Amino acid sequence: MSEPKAYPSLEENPVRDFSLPTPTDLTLARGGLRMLFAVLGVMFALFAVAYSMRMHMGDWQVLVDPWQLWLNTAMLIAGSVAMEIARQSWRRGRTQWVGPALLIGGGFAVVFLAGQLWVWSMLTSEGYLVNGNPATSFFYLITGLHGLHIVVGLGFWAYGTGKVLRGAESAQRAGVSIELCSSYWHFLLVVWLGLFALLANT
Amino acid sequence: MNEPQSFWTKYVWSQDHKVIAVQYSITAIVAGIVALVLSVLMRMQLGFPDSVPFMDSEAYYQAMTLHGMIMVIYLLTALFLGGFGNYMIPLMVGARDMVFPYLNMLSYWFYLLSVIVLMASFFVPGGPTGAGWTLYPPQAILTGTPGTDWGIITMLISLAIFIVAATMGGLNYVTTVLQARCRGMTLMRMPLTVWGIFVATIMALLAFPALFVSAVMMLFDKLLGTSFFMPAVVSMGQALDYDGGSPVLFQHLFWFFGHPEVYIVALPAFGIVSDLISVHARKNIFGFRMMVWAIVFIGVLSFVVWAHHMYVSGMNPYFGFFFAITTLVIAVPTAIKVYNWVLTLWRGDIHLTVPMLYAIAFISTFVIGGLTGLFLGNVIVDIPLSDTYFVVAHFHMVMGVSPILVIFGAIYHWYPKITGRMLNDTIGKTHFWITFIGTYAIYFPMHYLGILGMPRRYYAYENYEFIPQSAHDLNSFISAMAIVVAVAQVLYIYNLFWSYWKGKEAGPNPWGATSLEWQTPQTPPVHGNWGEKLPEVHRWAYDYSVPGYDEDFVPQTQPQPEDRPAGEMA
Repeated sequence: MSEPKAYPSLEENPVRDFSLPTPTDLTLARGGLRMLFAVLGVMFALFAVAYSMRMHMGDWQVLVDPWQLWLNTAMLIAGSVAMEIARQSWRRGRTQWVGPALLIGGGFAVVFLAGQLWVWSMLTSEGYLVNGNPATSFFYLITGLHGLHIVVGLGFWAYGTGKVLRGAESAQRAGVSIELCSSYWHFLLVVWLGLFALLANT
Repeated sequence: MNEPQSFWTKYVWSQDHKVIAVQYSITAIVAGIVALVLSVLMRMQLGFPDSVPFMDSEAYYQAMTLHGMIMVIYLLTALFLGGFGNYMIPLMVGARDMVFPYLNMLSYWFYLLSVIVLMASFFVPGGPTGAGWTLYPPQAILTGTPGTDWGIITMLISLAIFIVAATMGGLNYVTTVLQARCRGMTLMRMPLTVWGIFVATIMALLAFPALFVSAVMMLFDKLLGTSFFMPAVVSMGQALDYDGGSPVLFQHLFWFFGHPEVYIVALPAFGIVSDLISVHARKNIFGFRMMVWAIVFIGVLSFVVWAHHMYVSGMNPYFGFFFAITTLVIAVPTAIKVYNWVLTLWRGDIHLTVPMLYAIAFISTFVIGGLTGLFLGNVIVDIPLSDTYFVVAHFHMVMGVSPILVIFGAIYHWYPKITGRMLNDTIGKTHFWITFIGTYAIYFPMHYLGILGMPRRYYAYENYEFIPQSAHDLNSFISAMAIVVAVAQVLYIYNLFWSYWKGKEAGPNPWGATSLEWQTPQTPPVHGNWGEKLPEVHRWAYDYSVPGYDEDFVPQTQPQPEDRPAGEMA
C-alpha cells in the first residue's frame, strides 16, 4: 500500500498553522464593539441616505440650525478629549487621573444632552414641530436617536466609573470599561460630526 | 467557568450557548407552527371559499401578513442564526462558549419578547396588521387596511426588538468565529456550516439596520404625524395631514434589508446542506474553497440587487437594467454551489439516511426555485408575472421549502449530539416523503396559475372572467395538499418528543463525521464543551474515505501522519 496521504487535505498545500493567542477580555470586547460600530454606522448612514432622498421631494424647507448646536458640538468634543485622557492615564498607570477624567467626560456628555434638549425646546417654542416640515421631522428624529445612544453610553459609563471609583478590586474589568467607554465616546462624536454636517448644510 | 447549579440558571436564565440554542429553536418552532396554521386557514379560504366562518377579507390579509413575517424573520432567521448558529459555532470552532455569554442570554430574552409582542397583536383591538409582510406605506397605516390602530404598532415595535436581539446575537457569533477558534482552526478549516452562518450573520448585522430605520420612520409617521413616507392622501373622503412623503423611499429601505434577508436565510442552509451531503456521501465536499468564496460573493452581491423587488415601482429603465444584471450575476456563484453539491454526490458512497434525503430534496427544490428566479430577475419577464402566483411559487420554493427542508435534515443530523438519542427512521422517512412530494404538489401548480395571470394576495377568486374553472379546481387540489403537508408536520414534532425518551442511544458520533462537534468528550456536550483541554485541529473537516485509513473518516483532531512517530498508522 502506498504512503497514507490525506488525499485532498489542506496540509498538502500547507496553511499557516498559527495558534491564536488566548484572547483577553479586552480584545474580545473591543472586537465586539467594533462590530457594533459597524452596525450603528450603517444605521446612521441609512438615516442620512433617507434624509437626502426625502430632501428632493419638493416640500422640503431648509431648517436654519440654531447656533447652540455649535456649542453642543464643542461639549461633545470636550467629552471625548476627557475620555481619551482617562484612557491614556489608565494605560500609563496614572490612576489618580482616571476617576476625575471619567467624571468630566461623562459630565460633558450630560451637558451635551441638556444642550440638545435646549435646542429642541427652542425649536418647539418657535413652532417647528416634529410633524411639521420633513426637515424638522428629520432633525428631531436624528438628534433624538443620537441622543438615545449617548444615554445608553452613559449607562455603561456609570457602571464603569462606579467600578473605578470603588477601587482596584476589579482593576482589569474597570480597564475594559474605560477602554470601551472612551472608544464609544469617540464613535458618537464622529457620528455627530457627520450628522451635524448633513443637518447644517441642508 | 462557573458551572450553573440550579434548575433556573441551568435551563432558564442560562448563559450556555447550547441551552440558549435550544431555547431559540423551540421558540422559533412554536412561532412557525402559528404561521403554519395561518397558512392552512388561508388555503382553506382559497381552495374551499367560505369554509372557515371567520375568514373574511380582513382576516385573510392579517393571516397572510403574519404568515410571511413569522416565517421569514421569527422562524427562519431566528432558527438558523439563534438556533443553529448558537449551537454549532462554539462546538465547530472548538470554543468553550460564545465570547459574550451574558449578551447571548439577553439576545434570547429580547427575541422571546419580540415574539410575545408579535403574538400580542392577535389580541389587540382591531387585530394584527394586514399590510402584507412588506408593510408598504401608505396603506400600512391608513384606514381600510386591517390593524392600522394597534396591529401595525405592535408589528413595528416587535421588529425593532427583534433587531436588537439579532444584533446582540450577531456580535457574539462574529466575534466568536473571529477570535475564539481553537488551535489549528484556520478560517479555511472551518466547516461550511460555520462559514454560511458566519457570513449570514455579518449580512444580518448590516442589513437589519435598514429595517430598523424604516420601522422607526414609519412609527413616526403613524404616531407623530410626520410625512417621511406618507404622500398627500385623501382617505375616506378626507384629506389627511400628510404631505410630500415618499412611499418608494420606504421600498428602497425595506428591500435593502429584504433582499439580503433572503440570503441570510439561504447561506446557513447552503452551509449546512454542504456538510450533510459530504458526511452522508462519505466524500469531501467538491471545491471547498470555491464553496467558501461563493458564500462570500453571494453575501456581497446580495446587497446590490434589492431593487429587483421594485421593477413595477416606475423606476428609471437604466436603474432596472443595472439591477437585472446584478441579479443574474448572483446566479453564477449560486450555480457553482449547486454543481459542487452534485459533484460531491457523484461517485460518493451515498447513504440514503433521512438527513441525506432532505439534503438531496433541497437541491431539487432549490434548483426549481432558483431557475424561476432567473425568469423574474429579468425586468421584461417580471413585469407581466409580478404580483401573480408565479412569484408565490418562486419564493416559496426557493426560500420557503428549501431552507425548511435543510432545517429538517439538520435537526435530524444533529439531534443525536444534542440529546444523545437517534430520531426514529420510519417516522422520519414517512415525514420526508409526504413533505417533499406534498410541497411539490402545492407549489409546482402555482407556476401555471401565475402564468395564467392569477393575481396573488386576493382572498377570493370568484366571478373573474379570465380565471377558468380549471384554475379553481387546481386551487382546491393545492389546498388539499397543503392541509396534508401541514398535518404531516405533526409526525416530525412527535418524533422529536418520542425519540427524546425512547430513541435509540446514539453514541458520540453516529454518522462517522469529522467535524469537532462530534469529538466532544461527552454526548450531549456538557457546560464548557471540551473538558480539561481545548481540542487541537490538524486538518479540514472533509477527510472522508481517505485512502490508507482504517475508517472512512478522519476527525479534524487527528494529527497528520507526518506529525506522528514513524511507523504508526491511523
